[in-house]
Amino acid sequence: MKNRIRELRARHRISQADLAEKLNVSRQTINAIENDKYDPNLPLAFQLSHLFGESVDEIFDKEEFLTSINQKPLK
Amino acid sequence: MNPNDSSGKSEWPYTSFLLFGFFGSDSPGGKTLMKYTSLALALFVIGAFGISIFSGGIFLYISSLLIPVSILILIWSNSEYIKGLDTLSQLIQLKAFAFSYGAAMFIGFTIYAVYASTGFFISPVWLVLAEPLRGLVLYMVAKEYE
Repeated sequence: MKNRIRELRARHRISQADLAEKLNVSRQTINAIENDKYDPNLPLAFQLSHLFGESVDEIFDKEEFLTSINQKPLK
Repeated sequence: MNPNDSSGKSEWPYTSFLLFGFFGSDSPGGKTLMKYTSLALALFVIGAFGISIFSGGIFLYISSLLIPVSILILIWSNSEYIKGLDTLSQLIQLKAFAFSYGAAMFIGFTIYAVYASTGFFISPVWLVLAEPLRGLVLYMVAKEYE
């Protein structure tokens, strides 16, 4: 899923390695998320949200994802 | 601190994948796995050596027992190691384990089929080929997440 983690990292002047250490994951995991190769699980998404002070919705582009799977909300 | 340290490249520990089949012994979990893997390997070698030199008696039974014990140590230590990985690393390891499990089943049943149909005995020790294959699959799966 497309996301703004690289942009947020740059804004907060934090390296992939430092962010990975704060989140207790590998640097490769941060890189894979930034490059849209891997979607983090819910706890990690919430941790990212908490660290950057933005909601999960603001960090991850859910609209493009939902459009891509063509899923409509329940009535 | 370099906030722009990514240009989209990320190096997984490929050498460790190919040589040892895991993410390396830099982490405490990796060190523990290395320690128990070495123990298991030592027991396996002692067991195999014992089986080859003892023709009967208690030492043959003990030697025979060492082989499955060494495999049990490998199973336990790998499952503990995987628990300590982050979710992406777990995914990569488990994909490699799943593939090598399938490969081990293939090798094992092929050995059985050849023996059952022709009587030609092939040592089940060839199952060990699933291990280097696991390292190779780790390498290939990790490439997907680079």
